[in-house]
Amino acid sequence: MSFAEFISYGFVQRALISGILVALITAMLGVFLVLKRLSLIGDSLSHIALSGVAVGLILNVTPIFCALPIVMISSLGIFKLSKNRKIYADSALGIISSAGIALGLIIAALAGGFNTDLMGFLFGNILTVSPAETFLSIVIFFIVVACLYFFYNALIATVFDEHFAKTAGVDTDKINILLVLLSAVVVVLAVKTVGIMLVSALIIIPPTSALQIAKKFKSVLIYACAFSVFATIGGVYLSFLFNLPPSALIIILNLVILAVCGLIKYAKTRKLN
Amino acid sequence: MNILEIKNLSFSYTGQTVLKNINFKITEGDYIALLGPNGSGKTTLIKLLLGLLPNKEGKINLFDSILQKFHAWQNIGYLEQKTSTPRNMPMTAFAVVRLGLLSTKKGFKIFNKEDNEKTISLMKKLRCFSYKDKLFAELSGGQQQRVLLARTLINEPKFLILDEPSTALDSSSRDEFFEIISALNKEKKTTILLVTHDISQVGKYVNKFLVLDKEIIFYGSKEDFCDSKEVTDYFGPYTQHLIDHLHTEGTCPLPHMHEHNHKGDFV
Repeated sequence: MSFAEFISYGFVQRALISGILVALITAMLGVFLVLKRLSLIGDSLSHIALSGVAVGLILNVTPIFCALPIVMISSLGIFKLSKNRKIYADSALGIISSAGIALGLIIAALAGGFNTDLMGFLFGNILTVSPAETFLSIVIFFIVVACLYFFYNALIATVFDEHFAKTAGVDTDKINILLVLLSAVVVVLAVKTVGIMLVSALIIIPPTSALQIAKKFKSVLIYACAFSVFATIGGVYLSFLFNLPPSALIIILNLVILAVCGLIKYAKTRKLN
Repeated sequence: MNILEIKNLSFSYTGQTVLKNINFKITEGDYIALLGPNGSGKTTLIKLLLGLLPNKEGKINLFDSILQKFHAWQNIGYLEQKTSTPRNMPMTAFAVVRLGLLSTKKGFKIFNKEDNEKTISLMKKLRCFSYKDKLFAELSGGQQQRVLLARTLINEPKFLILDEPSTALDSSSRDEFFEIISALNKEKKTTILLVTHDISQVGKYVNKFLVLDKEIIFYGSKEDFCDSKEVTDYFGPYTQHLIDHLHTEGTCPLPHMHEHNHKGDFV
């Protein structure tokens, strides 16, 4: 099948629009999360999303809409737990993550076990994205981009040195809350694309690849977005060619890009030495 | 004008008293050396007065405004011993220095051309322009500290808080660092609170000493410091060398504070 024929299908167009938008926002947010050592927030929140999706399936409500408030509240819980300094941030992420899986399993069991819908959310299926979900992706994309644009310098200062940011008049609590809330929204959106099990890969891998080769913050953002979009389009196309799951192929392509970036960095370092 | 006023400030962490009933006032133009052994509460005090730790007991006023309602952060410059910057943070030295202008920005804090020019001008003045396009993370410790000093000074703050700022510097850079800071104090009346172990380095510049060991041991002018029984009792007889030198040369050969083995004696 040629690429032109491939993109002529309506469901493929929806999948690509949603996929590209999700790829862009996970990559942009991921840069801040990775540098702030909060990259595993995607993992924790996606596990919480499992509970939300299970509740949605039981109540017969669109699962994403049911998962969204639950994941947002949990993201605030992670912020609160780590801010108190009584629990380390990574422990807070682990606690929320385990709670999400445990609750999700119980709710799924109460609903009569895992059905195909729930499995779809676990491993994602970008090709079944509905027009409403595509529209939601567009809305969330613009919200995330607007937030990152307007709070760009405050976000950078908070990531660079939180003590300095505070004494420079940045309300770091508000910035951190913004970051975790945006993460929650993006994670729920990405669940449909790559599934609960692989969401964090979209947040972590493209920024990590970009950090290997980029020298400026803006370049990191641009590279991360480019890598993520390329892997998404490539993954969906390859899934058609080889009849393999698109979510897995998206992640594999991202890993290939990471390996190439790692090799470029290694070669540059060797040349310098 | 009172730059800082602290009343009845106490702070405990996990049941242990870190600061006890601290009272002191800093006025415009003061250059104060904050001394004390490791664990004496110096950094805790700094963090409290900057709002980086929650203040539960006592009152802190900055520029005659209660800390909780203080917003004029462009008047404060804070330089830490070392930053907690992520190792792979992709920021150039220029971008780091420009961040110092954040406190002057209202609303969405977006930089303009004027900010870029101001950054370049200061970097030239502080001799860190040559590495402006290098990644901050790839600079040497001394270069990083110079960049952070530029970030601290870019707003021309009225109150500088420096927490052991010269640790990463070699001796010539250290001298230059203190010359820059002292010039600000003399020429622009910038108020300075300097946490240090190195009395010999700063003795000739400062006009006041604050000695802290969970509570205030001494706070007063350099002259009073030299004649203080509390200081002699606290630091022990060796302090006489310091005092003699402060009297005669404005400096002293005293071993660093961390070398003293307990309250009273230096080793």
